[in-house]
Amino acid sequence: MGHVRLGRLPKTLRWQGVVGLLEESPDDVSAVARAVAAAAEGRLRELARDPSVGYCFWLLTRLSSASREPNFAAATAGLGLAPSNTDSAIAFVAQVSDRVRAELQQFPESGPFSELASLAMRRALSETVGQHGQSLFLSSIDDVQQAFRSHSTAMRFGDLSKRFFGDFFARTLRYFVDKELSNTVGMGNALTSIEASQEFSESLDLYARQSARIMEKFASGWYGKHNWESGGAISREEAQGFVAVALRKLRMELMRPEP
Amino acid sequence: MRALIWCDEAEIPAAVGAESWSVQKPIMSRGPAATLNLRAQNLVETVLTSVSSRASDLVRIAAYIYAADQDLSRGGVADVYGRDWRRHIALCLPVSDPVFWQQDVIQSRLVDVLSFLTEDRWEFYFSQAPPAVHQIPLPVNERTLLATPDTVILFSGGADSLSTAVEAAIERGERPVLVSHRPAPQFDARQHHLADALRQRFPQWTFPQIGFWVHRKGSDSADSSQRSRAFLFASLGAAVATELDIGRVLLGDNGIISLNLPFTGQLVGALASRSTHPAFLRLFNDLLAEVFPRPIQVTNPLLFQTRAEVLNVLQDAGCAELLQETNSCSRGRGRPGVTPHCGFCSQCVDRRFGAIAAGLEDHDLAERYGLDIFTQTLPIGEARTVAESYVRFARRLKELSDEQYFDEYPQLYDCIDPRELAPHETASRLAALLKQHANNVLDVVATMVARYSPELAAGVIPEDSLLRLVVGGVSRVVAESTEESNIFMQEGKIWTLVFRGHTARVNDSRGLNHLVGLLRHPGQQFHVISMISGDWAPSGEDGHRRITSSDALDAGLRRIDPSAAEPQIDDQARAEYKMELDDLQERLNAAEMRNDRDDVAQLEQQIDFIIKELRSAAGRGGRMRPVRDAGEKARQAVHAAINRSLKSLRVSHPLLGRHLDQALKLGFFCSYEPDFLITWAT
Repeated sequence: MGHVRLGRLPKTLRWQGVVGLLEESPDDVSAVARAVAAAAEGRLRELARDPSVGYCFWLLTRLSSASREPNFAAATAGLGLAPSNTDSAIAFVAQVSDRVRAELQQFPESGPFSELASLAMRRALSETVGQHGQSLFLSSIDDVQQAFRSHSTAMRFGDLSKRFFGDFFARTLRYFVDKELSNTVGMGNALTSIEASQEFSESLDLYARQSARIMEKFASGWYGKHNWESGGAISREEAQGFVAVALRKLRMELMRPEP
Repeated sequence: MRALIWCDEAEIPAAVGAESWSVQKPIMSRGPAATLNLRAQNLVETVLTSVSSRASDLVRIAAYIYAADQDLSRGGVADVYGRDWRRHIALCLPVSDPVFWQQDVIQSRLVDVLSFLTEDRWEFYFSQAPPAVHQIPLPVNERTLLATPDTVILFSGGADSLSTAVEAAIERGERPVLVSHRPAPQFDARQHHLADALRQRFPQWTFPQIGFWVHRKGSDSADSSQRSRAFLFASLGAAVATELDIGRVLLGDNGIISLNLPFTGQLVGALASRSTHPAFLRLFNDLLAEVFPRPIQVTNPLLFQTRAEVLNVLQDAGCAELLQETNSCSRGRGRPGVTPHCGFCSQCVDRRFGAIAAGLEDHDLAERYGLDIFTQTLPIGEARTVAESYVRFARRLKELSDEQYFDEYPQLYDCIDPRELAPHETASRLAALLKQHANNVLDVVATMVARYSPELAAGVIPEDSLLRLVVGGVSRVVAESTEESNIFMQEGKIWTLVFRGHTARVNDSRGLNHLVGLLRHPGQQFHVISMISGDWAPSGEDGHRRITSSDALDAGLRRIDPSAAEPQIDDQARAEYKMELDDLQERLNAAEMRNDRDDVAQLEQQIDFIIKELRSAAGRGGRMRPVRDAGEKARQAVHAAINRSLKSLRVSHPLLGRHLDQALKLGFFCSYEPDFLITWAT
């Protein structure tokens, strides 16, 4: 490991409430997620207008649209990419990574959330390709196109959106929770071992991804309408508008009290 | 933060100076007010006739960046949203050739590499430096140059840079020059000592060494993260390489450190340093390609090796004993000589595991670490977080397939150059590296558990040591007892609530008065009417307090004809509320789509208001709550008061909120019935 800058959660009541739950009842991951969402509510509200999240989601919409064009590589040129028709899938995603990084440099106000959005976007891309072809490592740019083409219908785009937002929220929860998780593992707490903390971490991750299921239909409907109206060229503003509603829905879902 | 920094006699463009900056300050490398020391051994004074102004400029630029980086805070550990981490820094610099450095392509390359490395936003404004500062004094022994070195090795004095030098000189027969950055005297001594040791062990090469003193002077730095240090280090290597006409610079770090994947989810972006990250080296080489006419490549020869594999190089070369002369600790400054390693920083933890995995414990003694993570208690904070997460990360890596690494850690795509010929091969090698690292770490864990199994069985290994966290233990929740000080106490208009070590202070409310009464009598039931009247007398034998009509009258309640009971909100009002809610929701969606912040805020307020109204009037299942007789009215009043308090407690003290949710029984008779015996100071 190289050098790292570690942090702790603030000493405010809400954040210490999260710590308390980690110490005493981490088995209830929904309560932990709810407490984090409540403690970070102000910042999560701001994310609705976050340009980094908006850009990453927009790029997904446009890659889906581009996959329906006969020449996928040429169609992505308008997105600031310059792949060749002989590129491998790995090289293509690496190129997308470079492009996203260059774009997100413009939004320092996003803080860590720009990187979290970028990771979620790349995971959605990577998973989509990996699950479509025989092997991510052996896939070509044609496989990337086929994988995205299969997600370019309104219904399947909902699945892609769910992956993106689910992963974004999972990483966001981990970003906060991991500031204290290790400190709450030990003999005096509910999590007494590394095995237990790993199980908790995976459960929290799963919970965040499952919470994003509420996105699926909504995203399908939105994409179908806007992609049609824009002729396959959904604008950044339109995507940002969708992100605002989507993130609010997800935040509300996480904060929803148990029935 | 927006900071304007001017270095020495640099000019500040008028338009830049007129902008609004939150910080404006100079960096001086000369004169009595100097805050930056920049000194090196002088090549000019020995063999070379001159050091190129381009190389000198690059080193100066890197030194100023390094100084500015340390001069500006990135916020503290409590900056939970990382708002202060990324800074906007405008740097005005004097250079010998401002026209060259001001070119768009150079600026663009500089910004790209520094943005990736530091995550700051950089702007550069170059102006003409006076002739006196064109050169950086670089004295070097003539032997260095006469021996025709063919490689530059960036030599930090850590184990990986030592292995890089050994591998280059011994395994490959190269003739490296060691270039060091010396931020403090103790680093200088260690680097000299190691270079001497190399010369003694391998007399076939002289291991010439050039050291650069570049560090702050005067006050402590405002930030210790030093993310730009790698840019300085690499620039020093490139400058020496170009002066010695060498095309290859080696910056060695084992692959796990180089990738520096987040072993905990809180490490986002450059919170995990990128000092030898493949993308940094690629972007730096892109810059060098523009700066120097002769191609120079900075590479990491250890990229695909684990720490253990890197340390094995020393073993194979017959100089494993040199390992104990190296230092990898990121908290090493000021540590006692007998324990030069803190033992718990990420570098120390990785080194400790690596040395054990490589079978080199005899040359990396546990006693040389300030903390033995395996057998001593891990203090809360960095020590616990690094050690616990390190093992958890390895376990996670062990579970994933090669391709899943790229899903779970898409940062790996940053390590792949899309321009390279066989990126899938690089991907496979990275996956193999991660798999090997996981195996090494888990093997070490198994080794240490086996080694200390008698002590673990005897229970003499301290709680919260890494070995105990690995093998697990009994939850305190299961063994919950009563000895903790739980407080539910009113002081004026403020209540102090302490539960399981967590404290909250909340405003007085009727609900808290009901709650404290129940907490004082765990297991006993009280009728809502007696709770309102404040009568907490002991119950009858059956546990129920008998309620009389006078009790009800005392509580200010009167009987109401049940037939006259009406919902608090009638059906029509409820339907209208719902219609309005739907309408507001649609308007909110539309406002968010068009990014109208004012409308969004206003509409959210209106929605919140209606939801509160509906909730306050609704009972279980959303049915409207009718008003009934005195008992029912009392029940509603008590429940509403308690529920309001619980709602607030769930936010201010979630632990207590959850406990009360589980332990309170609310009906016409209310009680506090915790699962375990618990006492309250009230």
